[in-house]
Amino acid sequence: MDIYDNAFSESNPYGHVIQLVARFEPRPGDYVVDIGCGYGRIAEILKERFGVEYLGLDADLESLESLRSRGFNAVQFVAGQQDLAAQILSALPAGARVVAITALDFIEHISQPGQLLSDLAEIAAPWNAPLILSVPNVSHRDVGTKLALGRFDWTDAGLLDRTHIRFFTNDVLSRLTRDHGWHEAYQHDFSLRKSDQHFPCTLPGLSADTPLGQFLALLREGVDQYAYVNQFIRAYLPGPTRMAGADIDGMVQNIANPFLSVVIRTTGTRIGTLREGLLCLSAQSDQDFEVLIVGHNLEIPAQIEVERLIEHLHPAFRSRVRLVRVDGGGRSVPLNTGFRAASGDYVVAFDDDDLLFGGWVETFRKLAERAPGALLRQCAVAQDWDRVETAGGDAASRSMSSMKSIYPANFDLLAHIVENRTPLHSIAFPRALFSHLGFQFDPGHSTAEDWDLIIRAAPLCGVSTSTDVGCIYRHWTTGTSYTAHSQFEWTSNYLNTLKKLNDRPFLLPKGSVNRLRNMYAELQRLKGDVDVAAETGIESLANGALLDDDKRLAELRERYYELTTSKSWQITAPLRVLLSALKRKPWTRPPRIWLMGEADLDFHIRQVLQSSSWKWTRILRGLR
Amino acid sequence: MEINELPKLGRLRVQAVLYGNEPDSILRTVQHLDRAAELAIQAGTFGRVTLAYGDSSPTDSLRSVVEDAKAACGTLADIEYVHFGGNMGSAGGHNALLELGQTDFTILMNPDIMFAPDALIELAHPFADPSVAMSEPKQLPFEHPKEYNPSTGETPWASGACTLVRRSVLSELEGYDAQTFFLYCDDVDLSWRARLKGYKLIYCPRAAVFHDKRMQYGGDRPVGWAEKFYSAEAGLLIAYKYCRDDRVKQISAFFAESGDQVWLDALASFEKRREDGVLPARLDPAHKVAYFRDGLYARHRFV
Repeated sequence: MDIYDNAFSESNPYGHVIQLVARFEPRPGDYVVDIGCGYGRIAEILKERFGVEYLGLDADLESLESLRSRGFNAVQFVAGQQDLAAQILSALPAGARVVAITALDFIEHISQPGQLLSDLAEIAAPWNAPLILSVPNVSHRDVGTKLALGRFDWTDAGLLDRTHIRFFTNDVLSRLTRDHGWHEAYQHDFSLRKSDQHFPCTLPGLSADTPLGQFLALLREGVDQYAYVNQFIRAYLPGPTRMAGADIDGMVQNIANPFLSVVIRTTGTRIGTLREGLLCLSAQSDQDFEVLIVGHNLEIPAQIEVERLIEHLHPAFRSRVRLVRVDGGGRSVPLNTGFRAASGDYVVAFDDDDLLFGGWVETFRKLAERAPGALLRQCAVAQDWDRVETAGGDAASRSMSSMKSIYPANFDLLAHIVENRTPLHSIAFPRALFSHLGFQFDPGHSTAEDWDLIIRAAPLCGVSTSTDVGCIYRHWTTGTSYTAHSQFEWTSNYLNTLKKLNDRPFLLPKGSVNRLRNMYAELQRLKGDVDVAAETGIESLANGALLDDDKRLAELRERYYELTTSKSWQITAPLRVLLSALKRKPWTRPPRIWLMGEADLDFHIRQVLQSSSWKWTRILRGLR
Repeated sequence: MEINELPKLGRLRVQAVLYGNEPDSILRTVQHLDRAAELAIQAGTFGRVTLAYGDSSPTDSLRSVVEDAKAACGTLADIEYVHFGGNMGSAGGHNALLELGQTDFTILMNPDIMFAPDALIELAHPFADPSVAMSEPKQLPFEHPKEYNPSTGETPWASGACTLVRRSVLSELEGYDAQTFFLYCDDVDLSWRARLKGYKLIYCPRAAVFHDKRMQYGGDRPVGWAEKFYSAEAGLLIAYKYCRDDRVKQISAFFAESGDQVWLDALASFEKRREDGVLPARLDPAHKVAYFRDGLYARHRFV
């Protein structure tokens, strides 16, 4: 561990520390105990400003000597080798009051910071003295961006000081302090837009003037408010000691989560359809999910109704259903509340008046297995419904049309930029989007909050799609959300989303260049631009083997492999060799499918299907 | 008794015919029924609820599945299992099960039906009226489109996928016409025979059951041989049984000209019955209850 001799300034981390000490109203004669004090550059300012006594502890004798020569108390302390409490208590005069303990740029240098924090909590308890920490933030945007691009540059000092042996993010620090007896009281972090790790400054991604830099910066800024925090400077108060079994080192534990969390928002006014929705869920072929019913602005009678619905469910299902209440705000509030409370790997919203097929969860799972982390989209159909008064005067719902396939089978990102074509209950989101990347339904949206989220998430996650129909959007012939909101609101929310999309770089999926070229060429042709015709040759090449669609290629390869490894094709192999010999054809290497483009694969598949040996063995295939 | 007063209907026997079903699906069905039975017994609607499975599968491998499901039940008084030793079809299987148990009310249902918690209570309501013979729940996610009277619930026929029936009416009607119908139209026929006796059938849109049907984009659903053959044959048989010779002629001509082997086979089977003299006795010559239009047996709200 190197010893630093940095000067005090009101606006540097030392300044922030002093400002935090001031909040605890130190009195003349009180003690500030500074662990890992180095040269103790806050000693003078503490004395000057508050008249407090200073006790510094450090392993480095030269630093301690410096302090003593300046008239301050200094005691040697080697972490892990000496009893901290004994060292401090023996150095303090009888009756001394400790007003604060500081540990600045220290805990990142020791191997067991948790133990130190526990010891400090016990030492501080008699005086209820706060602990003030200054800790470098390893999740600063500069560090994260460079690590993503394969760089980890140790330096002599700073965020990646070569003597750091522990690294802290906000989460890690919060968990570590909480688990070791400290409760956060204040945050007074020190930020730097460009940290000492901001080099080389021309690195695309690091520079905020490059599209990559803007893209990464916006992504990082969405995660939490600590993207530009250089030093976490926090004050804590001693609290209850760490619970038995709590995480000792602030490590993240892997907990088994359900596959899916289903968030149902309800105002409690559609109990009948909510009951039907719950039946659709309890009947799912895959039951690895939890249900969060988010009661939004629930009146007490409505809450009782919802609770009764839950109580009526069969026990194996009921144990996975819970009611979460939230009041105030618009349509996004219950969704965000539910998504935050969810624990599944994926989260999906389901309105209290829609319906599901029995394979809804099962299809999401298949899609997740195919493309982990992607948005999972299955097909939805729409159906008209109305409400009828039944015998006895109770209301019931009644279908009034056949299922209508008004939503496309596939997810087209470009088409979704124009308008939403995906009902919210047909698409599941990886929960990490919300828990780790800071995504949420825009609370400012009174309508179209679903489209706003989908079109922001889809470029990052991609969309894994299935043609299975998993859900029904019930279109009520009266009282839809469309008619309930004014056209002005719809337009203003729509424009808000477009502005958000337009104000940042936009990530397009593979294959988009070809599509955009074609769209551009088509537009030019419609405008009568003759230059496009001159490029027809290039267009045709670009749409051909050079830019084959990977999915299509994979399908063709699989088809070719199936054909050529089929029993009927292999059975006739000797015959083909014999015929070739009889016709005196030279031996040719079988085509290497991994090197073939779309057109070649297509050609060879057709060759097989049209060959006489394939036709002769038709009867064999019929017997399977 | 007031129409809204909850009747006390005594013993209920729920029965379903198995054929190679998914074990998990059976367990889910039992879990749902067990809870619905608990609530219905608490409400006093039924005093005792049992479930009976008849298995038409080639082997009795589902016996242990049913036994496991039974062990997990808290309310169902019993879950009976009988292996038929052969495929008796839906109608034949249900009739065989009817002979095995005494009860006040019976639910005839498919094995993949899952009840909403309050569905049994809702289905019981109409039986406050003694002229009601059958009540039918709303199936989800596909609600059947046949028309019903929204205020009274009266409907022209009740689906055999799930129907609550007075046992006395089933005895009076001698159950399904299993001699004529193997897989389809047995429920339409049972309903029409009940109506010919003056009984009412009530559709209950507040009683929901889940019937696990799936769908692919575009709405196409592959139709298996059995579904196609037996529904085609049943279409001819029910038209014959209800004295609609014009309809028989029309369907026969359509099948004959279709060139479709399954439809031709169905037509041949029907003609063979005619030759052998085993066509059903004819009913409803005045066309009081039977309805035939566009291949449907009732007016539909939509097609």
